[in-house]
Amino acid sequence: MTILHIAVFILSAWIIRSLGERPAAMWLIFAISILSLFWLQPVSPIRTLDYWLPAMMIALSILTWLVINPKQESLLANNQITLIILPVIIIGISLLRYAQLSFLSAWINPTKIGWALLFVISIAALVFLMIKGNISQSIMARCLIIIAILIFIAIKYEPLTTKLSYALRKLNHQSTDLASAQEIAWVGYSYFAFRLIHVIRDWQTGRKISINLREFIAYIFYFPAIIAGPIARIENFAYELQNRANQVTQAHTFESSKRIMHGVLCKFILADSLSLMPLNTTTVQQASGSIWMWIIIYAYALRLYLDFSGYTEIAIGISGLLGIKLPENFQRPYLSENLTIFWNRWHITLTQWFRTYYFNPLTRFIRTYRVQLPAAWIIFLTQMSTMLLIGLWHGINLNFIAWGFWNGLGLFLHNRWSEWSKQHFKSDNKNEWVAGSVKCISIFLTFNFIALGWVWFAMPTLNDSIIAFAKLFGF
Amino acid sequence: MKKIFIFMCMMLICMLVFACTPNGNAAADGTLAYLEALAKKDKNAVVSLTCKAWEDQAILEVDALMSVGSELKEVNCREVGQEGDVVMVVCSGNLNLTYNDEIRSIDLSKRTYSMVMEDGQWRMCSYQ
Repeated sequence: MTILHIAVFILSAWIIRSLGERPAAMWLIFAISILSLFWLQPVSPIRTLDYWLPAMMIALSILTWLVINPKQESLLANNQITLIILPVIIIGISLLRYAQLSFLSAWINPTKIGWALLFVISIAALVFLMIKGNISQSIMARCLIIIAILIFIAIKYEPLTTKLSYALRKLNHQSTDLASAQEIAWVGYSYFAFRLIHVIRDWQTGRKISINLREFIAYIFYFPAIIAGPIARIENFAYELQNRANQVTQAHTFESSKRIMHGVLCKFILADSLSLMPLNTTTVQQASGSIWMWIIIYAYALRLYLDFSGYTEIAIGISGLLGIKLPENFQRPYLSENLTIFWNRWHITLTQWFRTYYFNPLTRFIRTYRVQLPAAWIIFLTQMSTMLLIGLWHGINLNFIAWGFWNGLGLFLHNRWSEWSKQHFKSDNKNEWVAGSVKCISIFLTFNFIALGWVWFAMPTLNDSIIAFAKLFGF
Repeated sequence: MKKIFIFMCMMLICMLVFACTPNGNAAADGTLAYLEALAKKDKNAVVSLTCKAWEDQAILEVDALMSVGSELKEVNCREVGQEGDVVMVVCSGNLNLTYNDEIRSIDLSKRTYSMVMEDGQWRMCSYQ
């Protein structure tokens, strides 16, 4: 997201806000969210891919919405305007191809109108079949989850992404020698997949939510949160959407504007300045001693936080201007006294998502399994696998696995230490100075553990990470 | 509902008319967009503004600029002729390359860009 995107989003938020409770406001949130999806998708050297990726996300969203709603004909009748607008946007954007506006090629390469029409007709046929035919919703739900995960693997596992790029280039009669994983950058897919799986899993476990297609699309592609979240829960978002007029007060506006300015300061001034001191193979090789290495590691840790939390603040601020409250994603994570607290304060909505849809069900499953495992083993298995999955979410390679393992092991060791210290130490220490010192040391140790973990995260290979660790400790 | 349906059809027709209105200077606009993307060192944009046959050369051009600062100065492009399917474009202005406070200026008017229509857009396909 650039300053231009942010400026346009703020302007959009002001226009929507000025419409108050008029239906046009809801339609604008919907339309701007869809258009932003195409606008934010970076141009790809693979022809028309930048058009197809957002179009596929829209199609998957429509199918998901059909799955979570009761199968009835009135569903289409009650949502016909949205069901007309969506194909009009998809076809309308493909028409840009014929406008011969050359600068557009630096932004989007739409497909031929015939392909766009065929796509729209195929989706319409699938929608019709789902409503009128005998396609089971539960089978469809499972298929959608599998598709979402398979796409995720395809774009996060570099060898597979390169093969995909090769295949797409061949299909487009482009040079296959230039195929590379970087050509398939699917903006917002991770957050899209999280929202989709959240909605489907809730539906599968019996949590029903009544939401029309327009609001559902607005939830999935909500423009302030497309790129970097936070991942709101659908029921909270729907509630906020319905009650947004109550939140549009002067105090809220002031607070939201403050959040945007703070976010811009964090992201575009502080984080971007710190990016001049990157943690990569070159800087590790050039670092003249362990002090420099520590400075690089601390700069990277701060930059990562300022960058990500800056984006989140901007998203929360823009959404606040609209009167829609998004969940917080960061709560001073680097001031955490231990790793458990850190992971409750860092990328909060992501960790909550993994807790709800992976950690808790897995813990329940293991606890009720016929072979009873010791508590320590259950904690190890659940925490370690959760952190490994969070690592893999960032990319499927050995370094992210190592990063997940590092944090999983840290969490497990902290858990064991807490259990042990509860039994062996009395915590009724009334001496403020001692308690304060213990707190400071805990924060220092936690921060350093996390900062060292970023080495696995930032370096391209395990070997490079080990070289960085060796330099850090003066070897 | 009927009104909305008619409105949407009208929108599509308007888009169709807009899309089919010929743009007289499209090839020159394409060259300018290519140069702008090149100056920004946006590899993906440069390749997407290039014809399929010139993609590898375009990547080399961007790679060559990676270690220097680059900026376009007063660039304007115009079509100067056509040879079969290829439209020739000439641009005025400079591409300024900065390296350690030293500025090297590339005079763009000495180049003639060949633009071809590919996948619905004018794309840069070589220069002499």
